[in-house]
Amino acid sequence: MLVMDRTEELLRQRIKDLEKENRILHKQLQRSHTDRVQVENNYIRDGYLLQNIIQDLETSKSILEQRGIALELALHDIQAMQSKLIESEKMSALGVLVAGVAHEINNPLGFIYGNLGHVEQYINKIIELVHLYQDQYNPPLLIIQDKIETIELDFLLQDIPKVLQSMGIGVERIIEIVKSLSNFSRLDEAEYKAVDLHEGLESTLMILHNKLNGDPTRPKIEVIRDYGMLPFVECHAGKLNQVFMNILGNAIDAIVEQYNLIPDRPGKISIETKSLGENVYITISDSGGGISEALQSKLFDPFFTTKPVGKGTGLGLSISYQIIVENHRGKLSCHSIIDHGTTFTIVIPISQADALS
Amino acid sequence: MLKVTIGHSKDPDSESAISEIIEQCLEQCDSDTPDPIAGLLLAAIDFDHQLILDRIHAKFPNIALIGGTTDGEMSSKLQFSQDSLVLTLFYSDDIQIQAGLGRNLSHDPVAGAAEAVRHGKGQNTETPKLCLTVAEGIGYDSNAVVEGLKKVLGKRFPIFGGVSADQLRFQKSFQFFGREVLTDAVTLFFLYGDLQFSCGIAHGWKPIGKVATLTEVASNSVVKIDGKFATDLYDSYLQGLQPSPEYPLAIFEESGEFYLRLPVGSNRETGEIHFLTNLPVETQVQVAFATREDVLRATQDSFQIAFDRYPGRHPDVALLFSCFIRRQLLGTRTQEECQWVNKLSKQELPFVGFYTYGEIGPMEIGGKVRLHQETFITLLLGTS
Repeated sequence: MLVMDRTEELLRQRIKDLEKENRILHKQLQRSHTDRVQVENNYIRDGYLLQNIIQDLETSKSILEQRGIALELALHDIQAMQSKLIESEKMSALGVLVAGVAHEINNPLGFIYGNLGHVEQYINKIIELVHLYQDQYNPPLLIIQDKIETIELDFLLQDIPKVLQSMGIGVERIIEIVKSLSNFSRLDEAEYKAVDLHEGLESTLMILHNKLNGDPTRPKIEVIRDYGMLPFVECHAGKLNQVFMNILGNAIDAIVEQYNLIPDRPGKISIETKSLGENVYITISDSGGGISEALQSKLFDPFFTTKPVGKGTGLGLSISYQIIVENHRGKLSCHSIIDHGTTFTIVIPISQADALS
Repeated sequence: MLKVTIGHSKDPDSESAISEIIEQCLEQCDSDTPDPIAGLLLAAIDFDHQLILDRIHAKFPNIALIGGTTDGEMSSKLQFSQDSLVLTLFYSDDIQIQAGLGRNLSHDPVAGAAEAVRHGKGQNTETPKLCLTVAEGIGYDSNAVVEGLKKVLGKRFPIFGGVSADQLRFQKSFQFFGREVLTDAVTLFFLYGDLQFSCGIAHGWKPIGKVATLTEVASNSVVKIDGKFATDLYDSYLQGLQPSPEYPLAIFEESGEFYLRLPVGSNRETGEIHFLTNLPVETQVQVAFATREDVLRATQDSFQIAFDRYPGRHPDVALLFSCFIRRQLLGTRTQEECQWVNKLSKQELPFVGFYTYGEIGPMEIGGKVRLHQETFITLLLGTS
């Protein structure tokens, strides 16, 4: 009886446990359906959300790319403006300095040049007097005789005219340099003015004379002029001289660099000018090492330079390009072959009014 | 000393479940265990709550009891569970717990909160150390009851808890106080004595997509965003599907920080989106998104912060308040949330918690208390 009661109790407990499990499972089944629907809905929402977020990101990317391009353009403009400012400040300061120095030198130079004739005249008279003394007091006193020998009077009397002649040549050279400096800076010519471009080229060459002349480490650079008949060209003469200076300066640097590599090769700069139709053409070629094609495309970019740090600003050709193309409505191009040299061609309209029309 | 016993049953039958729970609680007591001083009851919406409260009262007639309905329960007894019943009994010789009740929150949540505080403090002139609360979560601005509590207790008084839930029906939830089953009410515990505690809060959601401005709000609804139908913002991402709580709005504060508010429905005709709280007009918002990994990482953070900040040696119990949406998003991985307690605790730490419609707490002890959503709050309590 007791065993039966115990079994019955165990069965009742088992049934109770099963009923409980059944209730829990039934609840969990209800719940799992709701949860499944919820998960499915979330899955769809997640898909849509991510799809649209990706679309948003693509739109943002495109906007950013456009802004990037605009910023690049703005940066380019700022760089160009900056280079203009730097160079114009520099050139303005250089122009003022050159003009000032030329002006200051001019006056004392005038005294020297003006009095050089008088000095020659006086010296000739003194020499005549010395010869007269020598004729009349012959032989001279011993003390005079000693002095004549000490100072080598005969040599002095022969050399003085040559010294004076040499001084005259030197002064005339200084006068030419000062004239070139004034011509190069052309501070007084802010407006377009019809000028002789050969004069500008010569002034620039005069300023670069020292660099062209060579030194104990390298030979002189030969300048070959093939000047055609040029009409007066309407331009900012000072600015164009700046272009000549930049191109010729680069040409000298390229030749010197090449000489250091191949000393046997002669340094040569050829300048050709010609007038054709409405334009004049100035071609400046050097026998330097040339510029690779890859670098040629960057040549007129602001701050681009192949020179070592501190040797070049990378602004010279960029400024030159602006002066020729923007200020004078002309063209500036470069043609270069590695190991054969570089040629820059400047094309400028003879009349700015015609170019504008 | 602070001791807790936890009874947890998945049995959907109320009678059977409460019997099992009481039995479990008693099994955890020995001859030295004092009588329980308070109980926290967390229950799924479908139970016969009155029957349960009557049974508890019959067994423990002198305890202060609060609680509410939830959207999921967790405890060290059964880990995470849905449709279950959890009773936590508190035992202590040196900690005092007093319960308070405020009613008619939908009429005046601030007055209801003040009433609960008055009731809870009673004649006690001491300053409580902590407030634990379970409040109604539906049918009014549930944020207002938190603001009401702060108004009486002070902005930085530590208040923790959650708002009750009804398993996503958004109709009516229940609160428990003593033997009473209530709705539209706020219940609270004040804890007095030499109590040590720390907290950690984290969510894991990240704002994505375009930044917009709330241009018109009405009660718990957002009417216009950027001057257009509020639903348009969600439509542009969900292609016409109903705004869902998994994609809450990140509400940006002036400091640049944000909190989250979850949409619980919308009206296609008016373009309104419904929330469980009021939202501030003229604030910037963004739809937020989280993966399961983000959510679980935040849970770990919440535990880690709480354990790192705990001022005593060992906490006696961990109370956990997690947003119902975390459960929904985590699915079968929901149980991983509470498993962090055991991973980070150096001892076997009892814990109990529930999935809420809004979590209440400060970012740190002494910080400003707020009603959060989508968060996980860890509260560690102890006396040593």
